Amino acid sequence: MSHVTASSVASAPAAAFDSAALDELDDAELCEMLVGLFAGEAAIRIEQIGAAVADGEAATLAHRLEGAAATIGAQRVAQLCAALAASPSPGEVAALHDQLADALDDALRAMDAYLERAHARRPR
Amino acid sequence: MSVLRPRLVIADDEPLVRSMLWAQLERDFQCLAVAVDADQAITIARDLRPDIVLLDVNMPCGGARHATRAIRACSEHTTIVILSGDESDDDVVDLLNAGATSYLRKGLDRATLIAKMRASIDAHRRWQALADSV
Repeated sequence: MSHVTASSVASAPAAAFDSAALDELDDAELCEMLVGLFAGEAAIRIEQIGAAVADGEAATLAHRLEGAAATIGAQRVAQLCAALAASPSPGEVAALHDQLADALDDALRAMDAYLERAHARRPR
Repeated sequence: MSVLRPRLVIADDEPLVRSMLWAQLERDFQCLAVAVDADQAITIARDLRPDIVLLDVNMPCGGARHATRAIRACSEHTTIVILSGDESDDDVVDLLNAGATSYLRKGLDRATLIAKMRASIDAHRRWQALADSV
């Protein structure tokens, strides 16, 4: 089994957003609802992870966010969550938490652009 | 069992994952209900006897391990599939030994997810038939 570490994440970052899962749904309104759900959940989880860096709960919270991120295609967020869940030291967790916030911003920007394109394609 | 559209229950504590799975699977499965934790998944599985349940590995109230044991005890025909964000989860062997048929990572594309779920149902039915014959 391979474990993702902070260093391996830095050297091989995943894409901010892979739209394949949303493409398959072929429903712009549903996609918009799902992106909204993800944005809300992820923001709360990342805040919780930041508050839990010192008490060991960060790994559990990261594991939960990883599932949601992987499901919607936020690959970089999922990758950082996997690294965070496997990180033993508070210092490493804190560093990854900072990267996670940036990765979420990138993913949400890419999702917004995707939704704009999806709405533009809809017949009027 | 409905051969064409197996009856499905989805259990995950993340609203996004529940909604996404429902949207991905409703054309090929009869989505009966969703559960937000292990206890709810057990109750729903006992009441509805679905053909297949998807269980999040780390959901509250005991996670997939507790739910797998309880569902296997009350509904032998139900195929149990575990979903995890992390392929390297240490619980894989325990969960399979507890009665889960397969262990899948979240984020699979729709076609792959459906194919693996159908293969899991088929494997579970074959295993049950074999167990019944001895």
